[in-house]
Amino acid sequence: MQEDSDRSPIGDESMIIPIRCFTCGYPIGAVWEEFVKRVRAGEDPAKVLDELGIKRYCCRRILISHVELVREVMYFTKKS
Amino acid sequence: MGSLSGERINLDTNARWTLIEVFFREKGLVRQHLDSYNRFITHGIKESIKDESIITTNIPGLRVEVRDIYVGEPMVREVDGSENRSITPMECRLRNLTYSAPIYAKLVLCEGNVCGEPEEVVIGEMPIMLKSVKDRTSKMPPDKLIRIGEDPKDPGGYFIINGSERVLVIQEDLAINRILVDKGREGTNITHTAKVISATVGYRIPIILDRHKDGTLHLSFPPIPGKIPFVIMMRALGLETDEEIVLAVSPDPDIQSELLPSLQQAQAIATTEDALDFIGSRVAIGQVRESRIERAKQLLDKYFLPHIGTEGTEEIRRKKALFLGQMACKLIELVLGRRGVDDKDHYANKRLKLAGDLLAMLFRSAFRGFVRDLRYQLERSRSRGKRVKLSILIRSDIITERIRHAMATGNWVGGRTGVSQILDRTNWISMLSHLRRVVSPLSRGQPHFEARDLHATQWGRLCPFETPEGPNCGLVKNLALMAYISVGMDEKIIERLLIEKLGVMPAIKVLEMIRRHRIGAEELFKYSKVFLNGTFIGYHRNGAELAEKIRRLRRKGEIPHEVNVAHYKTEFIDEVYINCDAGRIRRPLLVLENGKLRLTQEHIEKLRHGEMSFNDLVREGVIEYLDAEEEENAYIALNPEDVTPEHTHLEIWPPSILGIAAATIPFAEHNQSPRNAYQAAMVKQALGLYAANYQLRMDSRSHLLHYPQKPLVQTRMLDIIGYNERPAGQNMIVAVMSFTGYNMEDAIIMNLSSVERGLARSTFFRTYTTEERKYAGGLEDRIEIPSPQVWEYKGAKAYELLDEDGIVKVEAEVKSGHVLIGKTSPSRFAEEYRERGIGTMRRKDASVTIRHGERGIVDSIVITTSQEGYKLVKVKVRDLRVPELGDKFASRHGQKGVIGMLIPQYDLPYTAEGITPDLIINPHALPSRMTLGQLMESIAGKVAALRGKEVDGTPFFSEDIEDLKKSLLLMGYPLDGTEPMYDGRTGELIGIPIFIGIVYYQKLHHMVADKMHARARGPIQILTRQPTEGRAREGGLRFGEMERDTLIGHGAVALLRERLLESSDRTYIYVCELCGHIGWFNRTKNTYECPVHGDKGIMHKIEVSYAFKLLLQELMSMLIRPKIILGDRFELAER
Amino acid sequence: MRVKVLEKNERSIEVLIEGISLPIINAIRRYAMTQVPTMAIDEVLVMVNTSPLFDEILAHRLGLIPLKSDEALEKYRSPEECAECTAYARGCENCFAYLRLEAAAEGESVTVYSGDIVSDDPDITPVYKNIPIVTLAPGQRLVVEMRARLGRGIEHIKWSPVTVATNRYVAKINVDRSRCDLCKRCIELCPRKIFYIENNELKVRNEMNCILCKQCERSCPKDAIMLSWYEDKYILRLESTGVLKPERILSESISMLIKKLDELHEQMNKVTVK
Repeated sequence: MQEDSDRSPIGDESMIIPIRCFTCGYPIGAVWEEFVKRVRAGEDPAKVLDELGIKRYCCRRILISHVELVREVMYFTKKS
Repeated sequence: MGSLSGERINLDTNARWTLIEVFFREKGLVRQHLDSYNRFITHGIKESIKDESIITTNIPGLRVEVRDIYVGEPMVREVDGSENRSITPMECRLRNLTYSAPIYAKLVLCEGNVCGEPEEVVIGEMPIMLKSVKDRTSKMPPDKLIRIGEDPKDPGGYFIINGSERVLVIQEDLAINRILVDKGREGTNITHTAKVISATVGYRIPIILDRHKDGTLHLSFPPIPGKIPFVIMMRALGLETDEEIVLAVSPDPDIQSELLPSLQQAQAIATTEDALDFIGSRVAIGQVRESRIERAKQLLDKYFLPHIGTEGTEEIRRKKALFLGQMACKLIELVLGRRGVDDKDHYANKRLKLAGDLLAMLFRSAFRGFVRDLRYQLERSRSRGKRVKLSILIRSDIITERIRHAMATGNWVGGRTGVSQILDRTNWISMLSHLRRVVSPLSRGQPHFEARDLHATQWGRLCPFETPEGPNCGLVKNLALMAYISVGMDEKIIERLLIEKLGVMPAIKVLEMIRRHRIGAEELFKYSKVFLNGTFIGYHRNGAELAEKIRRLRRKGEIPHEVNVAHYKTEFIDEVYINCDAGRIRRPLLVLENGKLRLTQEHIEKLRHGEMSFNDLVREGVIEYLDAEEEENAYIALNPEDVTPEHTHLEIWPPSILGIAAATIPFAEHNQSPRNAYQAAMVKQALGLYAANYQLRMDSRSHLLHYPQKPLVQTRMLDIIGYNERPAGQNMIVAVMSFTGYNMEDAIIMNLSSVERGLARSTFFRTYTTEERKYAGGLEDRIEIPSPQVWEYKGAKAYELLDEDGIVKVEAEVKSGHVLIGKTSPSRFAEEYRERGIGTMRRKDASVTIRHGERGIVDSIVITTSQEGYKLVKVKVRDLRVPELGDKFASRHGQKGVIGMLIPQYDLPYTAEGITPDLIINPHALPSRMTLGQLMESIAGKVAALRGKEVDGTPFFSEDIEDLKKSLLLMGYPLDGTEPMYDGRTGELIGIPIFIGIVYYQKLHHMVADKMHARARGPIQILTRQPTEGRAREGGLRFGEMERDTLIGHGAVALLRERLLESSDRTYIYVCELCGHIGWFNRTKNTYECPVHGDKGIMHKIEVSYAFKLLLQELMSMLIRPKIILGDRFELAER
Repeated sequence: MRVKVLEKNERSIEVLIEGISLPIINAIRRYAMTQVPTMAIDEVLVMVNTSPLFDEILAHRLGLIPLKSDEALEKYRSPEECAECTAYARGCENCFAYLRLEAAAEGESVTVYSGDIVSDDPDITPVYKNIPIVTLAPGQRLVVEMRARLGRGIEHIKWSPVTVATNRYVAKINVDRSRCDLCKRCIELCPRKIFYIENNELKVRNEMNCILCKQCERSCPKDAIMLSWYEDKYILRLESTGVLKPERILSESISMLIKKLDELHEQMNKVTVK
């Protein structure tokens, strides 16, 4: 689904992306930022994934279904 | 799918969806509570004191007038008396405060004709509903909300009472003031019965009219014992002649003749006076006739049909008689077979009570208590001859405490329990669903089969799936997505409108006209009866026309949209029901006129661009809300292509018949229905992100899923619910196969490697709280490291993690037995000690320790002060939960299972690409359960991952599964979702292709870590000396009756004895051979003594169960003398 | 025996092996996953962590970051094999690599990347510099020290050098042309587009591409297609996580297997000679 750009000011960056694909261990974290950037720029996610070399559906689902919640959550940490 | 009418309606799915989006953007998901509460705060509170606005005293002339009443801004009064006006909800949660605002009243003290200056006083505190008009956070921008620690997406709709979030659950009730007719129960003298619950502010009185076998009608209502003949009641209400009575019932001779037995029965009592005397003699026994009549009048005015009026005027009594006449008419119609029995479960006959209504009830009763106290204070103060000053006499804590107590315990006025519940914060869905829950007051003990059944009128109002299994099935319900509950409006306005503008002839007038023969009875047959909120108000020449006219005016906006109308017409019946009261579940529908939508493409465009709101559409009559009653007149098309000219309405969005929980199910229409019900229950147990501010919150227990994902297979409703921002599950690669067999009987095999990489990891939080109390006599608790001298000192090891202030350090690893907060209390019997003059009284250890069997890392600590000014310490402990054997998981199709085995990636089967499953379910989980939705989700999930875009699985509007299969084929995978797989252990190809795809799985909060338990030795109960029960008390595992039976069956005597005696509550008692009594050992004399024979007794030591000893002593306490007769264990054989 | 490299690049290697039995190839596959040692962060000392992630999540994430291990195999010993490190807690230079991560967000929120990890040993660095570890809100700080060591996939999957490792069969497709009536059903259903029609005959191309999904065989109404595979021809494919070159993984895997067999051989000799 396309990322809305007009969400709340906290941003919709997303809990943070897993380092690796749960299923196969591919270091998915390394492509996340580029993926998000390009998809947000309006590119077709499938095409971006193909170009990033993410072929298997196990890895693709992680990137597609990930919800970046850290940016929402991080403002609520206790002050040390 | 072509339409028959020829003219196609141009309304595609996306346009319909736009309407839904606009609806929710405007209303949110808890609008019902907010509207109800807002109305109470702004209007209801003023109305609820109207009948008590003058507080009289028994001192003549002295009175207090309540001029106005209103609620202020949220505020907390601290111990030092200061007012904390900058209170935030988060501060209330953390400090165990109540988020409330003062209730101000303008009171005027009057004596005779002299009135003082109005005084503004605080008469109590009103809890504030979050995000209501009175809550400051409802107007804050997101960044401000974040600064004060609130989740900007939180919907509100709940209260914070003593720090805990509480919901006032919607209560379902039978509609008031509506006549319901029914057949009498078999085997009784009653053939038919009509019942009405007459209620107005503060009263609620059921009135029953029965028809006996002999054809007479009898009335019963609570204030009067026994039954009163119908005709006598009518006479008492002022209709003296038989003719009048008969006409008040019906102009129809067939119905009138049914009244003959009743009239005959009441011949002896012919005047109003006599009738009143008859009634009075039931209550005012042994009094003179005058006072009997007076008493009867009073009773009738105040308690008989109070909703019509409680003033004792002639007109009101006449109206009451008329209402009673209508009851009789309806009853006789039933007798004559002209109508059927009324359906109690029809939603037109139900009303919902929301937070505002419930608070109004509570406030009224609290206010009455306040008034009583004020009256007493006034009288006392006056009798002492002091100058009366109001502000000193007001005791504001009466209202505050009454309301707070009810809200904290859920015990409401009228004996209802469980009204206020702690908000379920397991996850986002569970919270929203809790805020939209509806409970029925019917007892769960009785079957009530019909009440539990899904009723056709619940369509679009209550979710057909979301109800618990078991005793509460069908009694606890949840609102459907688009259901909206009417707030109610003044019926006087509508009545005036009907009579003055719409040609309704008032009933009394019509009656008068008949009596004077201005209209013939036959003429009246053609008229329609008009009922407003269940009460008969008059006749109209043409009911259909009236209904049509009201609808037209409503669509034009000339009548409030809250007004609903229904016209019932059969051969005998012609009635118009108009409703404008509160608590009806209504749902929006698109209006069709002559088979054409009033909604245009232009509307949709405007909505999309935000130039128009949903309310505008309602105002323009493009969309209207129907209640269950009006829906009886509607003919609603499900989809645009079904529309014919006969249709009156078009459904906006068929899937909106579902509630919040059921809306999470993709392809729900392909599942067997109980499976959807199971999922609706399970989604509320899934772990996820329950609130963005979870790190600040101090919930007593909560969970957090580490890497939540949004489902690849979506339903459109998920966006609206906010599930995609607060998800509670992960997309897992699921294979359907047996593999090792460790997934039989609903177990699941999980990929150990995936688990090691973070799949389904979660954190469990538990908060431990304690308070440093101060007691009378200068005694107080102390939060400190207890010294070894205190009572019940737990040993130095237990306190090793405490800081100097007596509280654990943050990030310390804690295990069972560790103390989190060191605390000592003064001894409970300190007073006694002092009296006895024992100088050294030891303090007692009251430290808070980690729960038995739990462990974790100290996450955060809050040190603050409670409302009473005590030091309050909260310690939150977190524990990492990596999936392990026995943890529970479930898909969104009611398929739950526990992990039966964790298998590493290299042993698992892999596809040609090398993909291993995250999860393997057993094929036997599918055929009998028929959860086709899960199979479709599996394929759809795979497609979604491959094509980089989520699949829409909205029930009834999902993407075509055949298309999905085709695209799967195009992307290089077999179209049926199977893939050939190789066994990771041998590298061999598995004989048959395996069904593998992506399914959204939820981790449920039942985890073995919280459940596993074993014990060898441990604590025992004091009373019976048997092992304690339950994991929390480190209890033993019960060796029960059936287990005992098996040992007996095997003759395993020694084992039986060991289990039941030696390892349980063995004890030794001393029994006197002479008298059979239990004796004791006297330590000072070093002798065994018998209670009867003293030291002369012959005592034997006997091994018994302690429970047996207890039994003997209990018998003795009841003056029964048990006697133990002793014998030799071995007898020497005689030679 | 014949070996043919079908594909080889930075990330993966695919070889066609003829003439070895399946169990041996599968053993190589499994050894690649479980026995080839690599470096990974194993111990994390959290000094300061005011980030939104808990220490244990952070440590778990750091552990999963792939570290370059090409040099490490020679340079480091496995602690369990090291005499000095059997006491484990101490850890010697030869067994552990030390890394450090420090980050703080001041005015704006900052995302900490794997590239921010500073390693004492220039050979042991994260393979990817752009893996987000944690996002810090203004005012939050993170200071951690880490120890990386050699380990094997059998202990924890983070030490596994491969993402996927497969060996698969090579298909043998037989079309009985006398039975085939050119209904094209197999062409429609084949996900790999193996079949085509030429000169009114059903033909097969790129047999190696077939995944043996049996769609053709099952859908054929005339039973004209027979699907089978070569008994001694397998395709082994390894895909690296980046820590080692794929061909290195393959050779290490084989040598580990040989080492184990040698050991077995030796032991057997000892036992049987006795």
